[in-house]
Amino acid sequence: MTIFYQYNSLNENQLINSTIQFGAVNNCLSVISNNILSKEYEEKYLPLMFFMKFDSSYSHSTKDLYTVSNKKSIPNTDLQIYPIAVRYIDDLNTYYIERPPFKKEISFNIKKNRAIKTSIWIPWTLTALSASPDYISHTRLYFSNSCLNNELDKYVPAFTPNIYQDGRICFSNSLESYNDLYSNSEIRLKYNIIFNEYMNGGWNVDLSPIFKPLCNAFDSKNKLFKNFPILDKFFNISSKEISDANPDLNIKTIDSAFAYSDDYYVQSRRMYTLFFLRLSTLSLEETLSFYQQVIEFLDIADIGLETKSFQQILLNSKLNYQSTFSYSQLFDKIDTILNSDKIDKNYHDFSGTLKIIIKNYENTSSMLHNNQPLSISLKQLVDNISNHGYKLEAVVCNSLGAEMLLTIISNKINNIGTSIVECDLDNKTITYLDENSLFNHSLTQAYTSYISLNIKRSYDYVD
Amino acid sequence: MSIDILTRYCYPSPHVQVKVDSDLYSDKIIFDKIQDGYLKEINPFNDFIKSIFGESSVEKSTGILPPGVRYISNGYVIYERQPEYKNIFIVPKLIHDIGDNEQTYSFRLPIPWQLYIIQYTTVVDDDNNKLYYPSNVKFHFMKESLHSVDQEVYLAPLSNFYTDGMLCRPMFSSMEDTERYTKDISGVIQAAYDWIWNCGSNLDLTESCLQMFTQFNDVDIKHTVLGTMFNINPSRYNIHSYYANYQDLDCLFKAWELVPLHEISNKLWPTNSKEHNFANDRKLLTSSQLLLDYFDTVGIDAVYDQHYDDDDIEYQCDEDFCSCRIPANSFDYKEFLTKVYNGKMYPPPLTLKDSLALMYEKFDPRYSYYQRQAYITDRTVKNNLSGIESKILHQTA
Repeated sequence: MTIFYQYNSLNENQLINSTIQFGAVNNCLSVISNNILSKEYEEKYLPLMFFMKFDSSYSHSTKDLYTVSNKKSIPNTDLQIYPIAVRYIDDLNTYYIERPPFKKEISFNIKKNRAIKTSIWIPWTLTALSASPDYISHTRLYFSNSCLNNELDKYVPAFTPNIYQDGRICFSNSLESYNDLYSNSEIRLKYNIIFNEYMNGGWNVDLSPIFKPLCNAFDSKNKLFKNFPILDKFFNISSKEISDANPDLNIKTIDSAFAYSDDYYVQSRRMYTLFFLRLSTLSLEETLSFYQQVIEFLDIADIGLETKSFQQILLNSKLNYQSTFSYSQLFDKIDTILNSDKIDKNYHDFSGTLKIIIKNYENTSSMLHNNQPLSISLKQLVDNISNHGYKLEAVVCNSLGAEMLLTIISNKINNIGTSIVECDLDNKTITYLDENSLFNHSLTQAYTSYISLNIKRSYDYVD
Repeated sequence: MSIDILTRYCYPSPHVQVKVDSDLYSDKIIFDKIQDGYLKEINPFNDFIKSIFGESSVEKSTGILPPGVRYISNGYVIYERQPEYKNIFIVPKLIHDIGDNEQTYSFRLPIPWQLYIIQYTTVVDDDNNKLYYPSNVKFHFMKESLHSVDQEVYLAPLSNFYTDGMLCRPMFSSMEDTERYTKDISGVIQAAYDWIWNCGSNLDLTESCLQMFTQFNDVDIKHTVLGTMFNINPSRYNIHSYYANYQDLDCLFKAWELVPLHEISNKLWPTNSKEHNFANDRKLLTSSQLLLDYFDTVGIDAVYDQHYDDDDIEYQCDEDFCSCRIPANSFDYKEFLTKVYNGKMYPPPLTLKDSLALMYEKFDPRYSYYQRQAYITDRTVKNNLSGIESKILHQTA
């Protein structure tokens, strides 16, 4: 008996239909969804970025499935030792790693060429980290006043800079240099890379401070603060107290952090400065009490900043899940496995079909900021495909006005790698570019284009 | 009859097409025939793709783990704990001599870094949920927190452990004792922990404790938890001993109790055997090429006893552990061991990797079976596939 698995695979009509349906529900990823993907995306208009997603279908015998699957399940001693406090692993392979409080030296520029150094206690942290290198940018960091005890324990997004409201870390470009290392390393090293890169990679004030609503609530003399003496005390820490804790700083410098500016960046920088300087006056015990009261306060005060229970963090992770593998991994993995495993010669006709959907990426703007290699030129695409011994067989479908693009790609399939195209779906124009141009810009209309390329490869096995 | 099943998992519901011979049944027709919801939990492709990528260490969420879980995959959990005081409970009798209301003795021992290697099995219930149960537990002491698979691990000189570190599993009086834990990885760890620390012990297995008296010379023993306080009569035990009496265990644990926790990580611990006990280790040695090599070195002719059957006919025995395999010639056994173990009478410490490999070889049916042929171990995949097959066959018949 042969079982043919077809995963997220759609024929031409289905894809078109799905795409139309997709358009009707606002940027939903359901076209490439699996049964757990249900994230709703906000309607937004982004530059067109062609992003490769895998749509794979496999044809193989049941025995092959057993063989490969079983071989993988055989225990071996080549372990990947985890970091010490992995507190949860979900079935999507996201690791939730805890770290006890530690003291961190902070150096930041209050003005040009004028740096302030201080040290603060970072409370208990929880890092949600995917083992898949594709999801580095999904790494999230939370603070809490205690270690994880049950699923109802509450967390706030880390109050340090470059953190989004949902706890995601906004990484600097330097993380790209770790891509290869990250892909091949064990989870312990991945965690070290991520955590150290974030903590030591340099922060900026591009993102609004997470704790800003808290400051605003205090400024507006929220009566609830009376019930939270540590918060009340924290926001009333004087320049003198800060100076006592930081003898190297003079009062004048500290006072400048209290001043208000209409300039967003200046004001954000001052907010962080003041926040860190206040934290520097707190002992570890006081810091943990501070975060405990922050969590308690946010649970009852509607100020636009919410806590998340560990349960909600788990759920959030699942909603962000798209896939556990990337196309580059898949090519390599399949090659490696099929070559090394030398599947029985009875199955030498085994063939795989990979379908790639090129689509614009609409996740969030953070992906655009990070300059990550989300986009790929058509040349890169076809090069990769041909380099791995695959053949482009056909372009399957398209939707919403990209027919011309498809036509050109179809024509180019027989002449791989000589030129690439750029399309403007608003004006319905397509431009040839030279080989080095990336196929990733110029459109303001979101999504709309799906290109599915059928790629086939036959595997021959040698015993 | 040839059947092709085409499954597609698209949100929000899966679609199935079945091709029986050349007739293709549309997913709608098939799907209507199958009870609503039946296929929703079946996702063999995901299992397959996970197995390809091999990164997914768990098949279902683990539950909240205690700090110190250092590895989970393929039916094994490796868990460590920091040095801490633990209470041990011991009934100073063999299991079949223990009656009602027996006196239990307890000791509060400072325990160094601990390493738990827990083998677990999964059972799929009627609702297709995977239930996790611990099946075997190995336990070692360590000098420091785990940082490498090549790190040395040591024997825990506690009763009810075999000398390879394997726990003699406790006996339970009711199903509640095994069923009360959550059926995930966190429950497996809790159960294994309870097996070791909260199920009591007796004098059935004391060879591990005995190693404290036999493995160290006069100098080294001062650096163990025994220190200089107790002077065990050296003639009482030798390398062939396998049972320690309770008086000596009492001496050991009382001396051990006196060691401050902050000094416990600096103490010396015995090394493990590879087999369940040291006698079996030595049997393997004497039937190995090592002994013949030793004979060559010292100039002894290796003459073995011959085996006789019921008719007194001599024949060549092929059983490794048979007594006839012991060389007939007399030789200095201690010297032989010293040669094999690099100047010592006992083997060098195992590494985590060694210990794990031994557990695989001895207790994991997948491992030994796989040496001969690939076979189906992923019960979920297997069950899912056969489930689909049988359901489809039934529905289309």
